Amino acid sequence: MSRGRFLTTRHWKRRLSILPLPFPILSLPFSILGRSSAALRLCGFAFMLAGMPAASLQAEISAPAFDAANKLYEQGKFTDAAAAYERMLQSGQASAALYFNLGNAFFKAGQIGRAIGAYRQAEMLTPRDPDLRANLQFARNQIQGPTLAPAWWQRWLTKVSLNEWTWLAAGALWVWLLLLTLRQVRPAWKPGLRTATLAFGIAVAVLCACLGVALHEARYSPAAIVVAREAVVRQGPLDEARSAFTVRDGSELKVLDKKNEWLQVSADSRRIGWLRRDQVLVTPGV
Amino acid sequence: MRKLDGHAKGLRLSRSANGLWLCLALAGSALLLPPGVRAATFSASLDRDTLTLGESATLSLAFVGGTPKAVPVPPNIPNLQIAYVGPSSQFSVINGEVSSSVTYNFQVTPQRAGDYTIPAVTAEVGSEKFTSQPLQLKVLQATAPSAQAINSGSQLAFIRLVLPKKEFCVGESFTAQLQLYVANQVRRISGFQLTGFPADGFVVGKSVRAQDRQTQLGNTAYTIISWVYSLTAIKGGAMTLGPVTANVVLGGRDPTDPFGIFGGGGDQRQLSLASEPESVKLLPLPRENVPADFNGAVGTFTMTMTAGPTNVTVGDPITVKVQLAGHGSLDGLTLPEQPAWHDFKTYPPTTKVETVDQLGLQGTKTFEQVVQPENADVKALPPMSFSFFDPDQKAYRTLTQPAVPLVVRPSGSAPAPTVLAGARTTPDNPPPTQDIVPNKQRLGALARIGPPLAQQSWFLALQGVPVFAFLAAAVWRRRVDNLANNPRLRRRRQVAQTVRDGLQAMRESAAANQSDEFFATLFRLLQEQLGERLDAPASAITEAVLEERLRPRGVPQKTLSDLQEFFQMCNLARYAPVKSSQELAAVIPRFEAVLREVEALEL
Repeated sequence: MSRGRFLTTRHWKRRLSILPLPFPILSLPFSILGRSSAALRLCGFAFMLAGMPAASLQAEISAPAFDAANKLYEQGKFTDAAAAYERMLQSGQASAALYFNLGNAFFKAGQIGRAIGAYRQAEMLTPRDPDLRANLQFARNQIQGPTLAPAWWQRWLTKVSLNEWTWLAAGALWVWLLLLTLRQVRPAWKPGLRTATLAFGIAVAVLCACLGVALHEARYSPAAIVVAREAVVRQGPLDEARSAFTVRDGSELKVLDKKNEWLQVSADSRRIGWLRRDQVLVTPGV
Repeated sequence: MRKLDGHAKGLRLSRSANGLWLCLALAGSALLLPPGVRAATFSASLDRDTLTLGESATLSLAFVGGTPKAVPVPPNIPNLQIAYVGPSSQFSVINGEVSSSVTYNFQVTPQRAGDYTIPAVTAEVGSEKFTSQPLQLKVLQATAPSAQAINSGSQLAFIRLVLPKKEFCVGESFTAQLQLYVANQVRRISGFQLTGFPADGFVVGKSVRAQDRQTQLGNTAYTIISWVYSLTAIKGGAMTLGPVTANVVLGGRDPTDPFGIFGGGGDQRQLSLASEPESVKLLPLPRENVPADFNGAVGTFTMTMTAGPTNVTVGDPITVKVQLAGHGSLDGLTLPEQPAWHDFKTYPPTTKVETVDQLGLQGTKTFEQVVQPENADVKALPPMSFSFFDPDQKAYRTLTQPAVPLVVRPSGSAPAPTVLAGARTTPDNPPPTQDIVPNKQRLGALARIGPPLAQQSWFLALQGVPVFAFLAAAVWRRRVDNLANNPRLRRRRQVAQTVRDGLQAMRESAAANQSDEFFATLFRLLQEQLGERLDAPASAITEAVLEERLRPRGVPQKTLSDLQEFFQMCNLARYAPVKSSQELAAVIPRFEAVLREVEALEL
């Protein structure tokens, strides 16, 4: 068999390994069983293919604008670069690289809060991008004063995007129901399928729980990122209210309530107060 | 410290009982005494006329033979605190002569030494007004016992102020120890209260209780109860610290023996204590060789400094972290101005103090300051210096941290790649990055910003597909299992299929004018259908079945007649000549109708 015409298994694995892995957790049992995750990468690639043609076309259209914004950045015109990136986003297009570069431009322009906001948007699209995680951490390290530190489980949840959690849970559900259907159609296979059915049943329960928590955190637990150089958190939703504490650009706070143009925020269990809405970016959860 | 809780409780009970007796006595005297006995008198008295500052005296306003309309109130006297304690009453009958008295008691506590006059007090008893005589009270300043009295062991209790040295520098922080000596023969100590701590030229800070100790003076063993105070000298010159004055109550009943049954004495004694004043010399800081960056720090300190990131673009923030550790007034430490940092824009530092002792004199103060290089010519963060006055060496000292090399790029230049400090890195412990990772050059796959998949209706509907498939499979499996477990139902379906096939075969036989085969099939179908209905083997079905098993079960006569006719038709066909195709075809509809009737029978 000629190596020039046919790809060996190793070649396929190498090619597939460069594809994004949307289902890292699903690959775990296969790894344990000694299987390659190549098949799963192929599945992920198949999922991506669905939206690929339109995305590729848009990318070609948007590339000049993206390059022009990058050029502004290289020239040190960080504010102009940020504006250019934002114009692209206003057209309804978004990509992880776009948000990433927007975050960089904001950071270089000294707007740490807006930079963190952009990085977090990018995190929703590519949660495991090491460059993104490095920059987000670097920006967070620059924050002075009180800020919300995500819990370990929140950091763990954000390693997989919400849509990836959805695909994982749905995939496990489909496989589990397929196994259950097979048990109905071929009762003789029941003993052989028992372990797999049990494993996927547990996986469905765990993944659906993770999806539920991730969905709650992403959609119903908003966070506020301070974008003002310095903002006074007051004890009531009034300009005349006494100062509770002060937060600085980039501080991340949990939003507890809102009233008119004020948000009730907390940095921790002891520091709770009201902040004017125009001093923060309100984003989905941590 | 031992307490007098039981005794205090006893006092409260005594007061409430006094009130009850007072009411009874007053009511009795009002009803029983003849009018001539009620001639009233009023007098005021002090239980003692000389006090030491910190002690209290009792002022008694006594009424004999009458009761005032209201509790008489002594006038306010500057520096003399008078507090109402409560009434007491007395009722007696001696040789038939009845007398009663009520006394209102007040606690008099002087705030300052001196001579006081308590003016006359006026009270109204019935329709008469009475006025008491003025009273004199002398209040002496508490004085420390002599050294001879202390060393002889004759003192029950005394206090001492112990200083580490007699000379301090202005700004120097130190600790002083206040020691309460109590002879071991004192069973209980309570109510220790500082009444004065003159400390002109000092700021008195936090205090903590030290470990109790034992000592022997003369023939008396003492317990030393100590408190450590932090003090900071604030102005130069000859100063006096103290005398410290305090009150303490010694003695009292043993809480485990509240009635003194087992020999516990109930006496208690309030003492005013004073320490010897301590003369202290506060030295101003020398005016020679004062470092330019000295900003008032006094103590002994060390300094460390870190800065990062060190590879930056003009305007990028660099965090400078300075730690000053040592002994001194940490709260008052500030970072000096750094004139050499003229190429940097600086922001006010944030500070954090971490102390390692309870008095807050020993610890670390951390400053975090953000600076931004203002041009690309900057090559280093200049050396940081901090000067302080060392009171032990009696000299100024300057701490210096070396310059921190920087790489500062012009703001328009391409950002450098991430610089990793150190070669030894592990995946678990990555080194801190010095700058952000540069821009992405490829836009990547674009996506529409929209709600997450989990909230899109098409996706949710799609999840119904496997659910539906599973439900369908489950229903199908249930039907299959039911059929497998029900032989009659299975036979019924088989017979129905056999009948459908047999009728088709009969039509073909009729068309081919094959009479034998036609009636053979007819007979077989009769057997199959009746056998299925009667749950009997098909081969066991004969014409006799009609009378033996169908008629007793109430099958209609017409059906029986039709079936009998078909049985006889089959018998005749074996002997009779062959019928034509039309005749055979005419039989089929009738036979089909009979089979339907049989199929509908509930036997």
